[in-house]
Amino acid sequence: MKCVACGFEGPVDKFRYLYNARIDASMSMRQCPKCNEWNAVDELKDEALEIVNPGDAPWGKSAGIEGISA
Amino acid sequence: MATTAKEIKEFEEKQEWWWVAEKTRSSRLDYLRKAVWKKGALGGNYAPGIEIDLEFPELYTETWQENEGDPIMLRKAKSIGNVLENLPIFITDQSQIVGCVGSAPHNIVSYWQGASMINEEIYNEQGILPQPEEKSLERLAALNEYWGGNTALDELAKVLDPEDAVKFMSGAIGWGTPSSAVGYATKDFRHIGKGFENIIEEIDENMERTDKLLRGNPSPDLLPLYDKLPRWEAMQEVLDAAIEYAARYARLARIIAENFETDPKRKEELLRIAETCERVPAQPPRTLQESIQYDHFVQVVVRYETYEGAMPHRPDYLHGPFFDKDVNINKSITRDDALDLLGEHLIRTYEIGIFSPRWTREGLQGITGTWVWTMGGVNEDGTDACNDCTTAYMQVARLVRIANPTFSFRWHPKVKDELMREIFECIRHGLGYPSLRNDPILVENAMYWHGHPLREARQWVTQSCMSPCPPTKYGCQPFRMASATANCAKIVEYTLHNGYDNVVNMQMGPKTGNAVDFKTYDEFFEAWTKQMKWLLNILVRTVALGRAKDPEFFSRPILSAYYERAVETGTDAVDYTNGERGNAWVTAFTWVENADSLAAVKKLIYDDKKYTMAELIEALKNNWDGKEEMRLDFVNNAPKWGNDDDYVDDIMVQCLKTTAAHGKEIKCVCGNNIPILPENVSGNIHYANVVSALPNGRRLGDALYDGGISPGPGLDKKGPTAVLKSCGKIDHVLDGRAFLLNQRLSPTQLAGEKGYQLWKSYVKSWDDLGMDHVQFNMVDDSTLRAAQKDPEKYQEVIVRVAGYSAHFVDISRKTQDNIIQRTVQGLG
Amino acid sequence: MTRKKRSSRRDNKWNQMRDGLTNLSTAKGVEARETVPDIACGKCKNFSESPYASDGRGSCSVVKTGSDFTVDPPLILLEGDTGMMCMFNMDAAKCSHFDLMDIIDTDGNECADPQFRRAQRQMEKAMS
Repeated sequence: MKCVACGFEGPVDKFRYLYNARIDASMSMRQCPKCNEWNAVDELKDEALEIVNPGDAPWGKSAGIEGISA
Repeated sequence: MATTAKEIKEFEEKQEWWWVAEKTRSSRLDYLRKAVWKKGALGGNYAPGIEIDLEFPELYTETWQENEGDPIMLRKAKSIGNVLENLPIFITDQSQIVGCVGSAPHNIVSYWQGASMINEEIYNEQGILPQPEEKSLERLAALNEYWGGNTALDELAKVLDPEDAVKFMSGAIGWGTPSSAVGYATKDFRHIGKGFENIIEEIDENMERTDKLLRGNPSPDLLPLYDKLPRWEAMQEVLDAAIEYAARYARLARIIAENFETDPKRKEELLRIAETCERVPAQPPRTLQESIQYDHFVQVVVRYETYEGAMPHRPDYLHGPFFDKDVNINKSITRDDALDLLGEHLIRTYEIGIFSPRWTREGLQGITGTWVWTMGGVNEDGTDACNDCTTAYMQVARLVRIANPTFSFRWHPKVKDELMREIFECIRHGLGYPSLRNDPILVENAMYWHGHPLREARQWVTQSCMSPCPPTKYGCQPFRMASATANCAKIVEYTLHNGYDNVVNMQMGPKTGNAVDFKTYDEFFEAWTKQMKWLLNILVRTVALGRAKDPEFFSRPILSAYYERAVETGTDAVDYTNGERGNAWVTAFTWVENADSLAAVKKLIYDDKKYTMAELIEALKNNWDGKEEMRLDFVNNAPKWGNDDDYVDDIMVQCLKTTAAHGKEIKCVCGNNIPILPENVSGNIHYANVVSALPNGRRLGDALYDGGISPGPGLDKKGPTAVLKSCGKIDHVLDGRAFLLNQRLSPTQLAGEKGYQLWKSYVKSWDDLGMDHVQFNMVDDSTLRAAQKDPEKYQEVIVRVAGYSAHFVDISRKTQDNIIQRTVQGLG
Repeated sequence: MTRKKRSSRRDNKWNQMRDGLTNLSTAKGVEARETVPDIACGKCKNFSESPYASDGRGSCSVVKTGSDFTVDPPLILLEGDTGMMCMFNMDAAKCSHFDLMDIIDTDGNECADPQFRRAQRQMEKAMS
């Protein structure tokens, strides 16, 4: 897997597992051991998708009727 | 420039309630709210500027060292006395209520007599040392070396079974310190309200009577009386010291008024503060200000004795008659004046700051203790106890918007619609409180589990976040850890791994067998039951020993003076032989993972035979790495709690009933039952990296579910009625002590009158299903995400965590994300 | 003659661990408390910090109870079902199983992570 921020490459378990975005989705967050950035990771493909900063939500909205609040 | 009504309306429409509060509260409340320091930890660390108070432990230790020969309670009373008589005090500008825990407004305190490991933690803590740091380190090292090996917890560790001690303190299976060094106690306000001088007189009479008896031969009957005398002396010592503490504030207020204050209005206020502190707590209160000041002194003073982590009482019940007399009958103050007093009561309580060990900080992020105040409910005779003061507290809570204290409202069918609207407004404004508690259910529950008589059960207060306890002579519970707190997800984890804990590297639970060898689900559940019993037993016996030894190792002179039964018998309040009925429970953290994990095992391993147990265990040991498809199968294709699905709901009920039966077998030191109480505060985040991967699909690192019976975030896919129906399958009297349910609602959907009516009918369904608790978050994703991006702009956004509320910016990013993950339920 | 002990309850591995638990923080004075050796248990992948007490105690997933780094040569036991108790700043120079961690997270604003987080003030200083 390749870190989106610094390009560090290594097996997925080299990246520190932080937590899931939603338990029912295959996306999780993992921390790069080199630059410490948080990567959104597709666990089915072992692929880092984007960097997740506070306030970002690459997995979309909450479950339920959150859509009507926007 | 003054804010116009139009601008306020705009804030309301945008649901920026924090601006509405700031623009509509009195200038005094605005000043006091902004002047108070934030003392809850931001995630796990304290806010910049917060400092540990070193003068308090030094004054305490100095007297402790000087009185080595005294019995422990007297030695302790003298030490507290030295603190109350000599610690610096201050009065905040514009305030009318005085008293603070610590020698400066930005200080937090700790108790060096409690636990060496906490003392060392303070030494190691980031950012809380007074400058110059070098000097503080020397002072801390000196304190730690004096107390090292001699604290209450050190003493207890010496007598505990070594295996139990190691497992308890591993941090894997439970929370808490088995000592009243860290805990909380119900207060006997009917007794306390007599006035401290009257209690001192009662003690005098008891001592005189005992002295007379001791003139006889020292027979076995008389010998125990000798030990009572120094205890009574200790109680008097601390009550005297508390009166002197108040007198110091009276003198300070007079000095400022007579020598420095130039504003005549403020001068008058300072003189009123002086008169108030000359009256209370020595004598019973006569006015609303005296009543609140009395209450505040009671709470502050006891926090010079120990870390009182909760604040069980009913302020509307206590202060309601004075509110009514001053505002409605005598009209000696206006309603706005009264709101200023109540608002400041909330702010001064928020100001109380106590250093918490890291596990407590992480489990109670953003707050300094669970100051959950109980409101509403019924009187002893069953009539409605709600009053004008209840309404006023709801109104002022929306104006000051603090996260601690929060309210727990004892709902019952006679509550008037006007008050329900006030409660809904608090929730709509995003406070996350009051939580709703079902009074008839919980009165029955208190009678069923602990045998409290009806008239006493009707007086219950929330002892911590959730547990109802009658604050009566024999109902009061002095020791939070008369029970324990269990990390229940470990039950299913240990069932799968033959009792071994891969996080703390230890054989923790019993060896119930290799799960691969279990041929049926029933065998698996049998092992689960053994692990459950082991977990509850080890926690309960450790805590029970801690409780039994507490008067010897820690001692509570102030709490003893606050308890009628302790004053009457000359015993320590924690002494379990003085008539206490007992109100113990085991707080069941991380409970719901058991139901979802068992259902997944039953469905996919035993019923469908889609995977073998060996495959599952291998995947769990590797934290599901490389097994994402399988993990998603366990999440999406196994039934999940909260969807009105009998497959998993029956498992949940079976787990609860099995545990409740055990709760009737294990007993607290008073001989009473120990039911479980599923809830989490933010323990679900604290334990995220402590609980291994589970069959419900979570990994080590993922937050656990947030509530006691709340479904997993995003897993309740069939709407709020299905959630209620699942939760309604639990018997909220027989199956446990109480059950915490978090629900997240849409502020857009619940706007206006229609929103209120939707919510009200939801409350009706909740009651019809016989549930005991529910609490609501009503802040949308976009506000919470914006607050994550730009925390400075959203300092005042509050959310319900679980059992308490916190400012959103004060909780860790993982906790924030966990709250956002919760399903937003559409009502109606 | 040495009296034979009647109970093994207080003379076994749990007792050793309990003693380890209560006597772990043996550092005296400021200097000893402030020192974090270059090769310290808290910097090793095998160290799991206790979520109960953030004074920095923890256990080792490789080296077992009964091991002793203070003797020469060090006594290292690899058999047993309880890990050795250690402190974040314990000198591990003599431990042949020391394995430096890639990520050491000293952010105290997040929650317990026995594997990665070391939020002590001294560790924050040592890692900066």
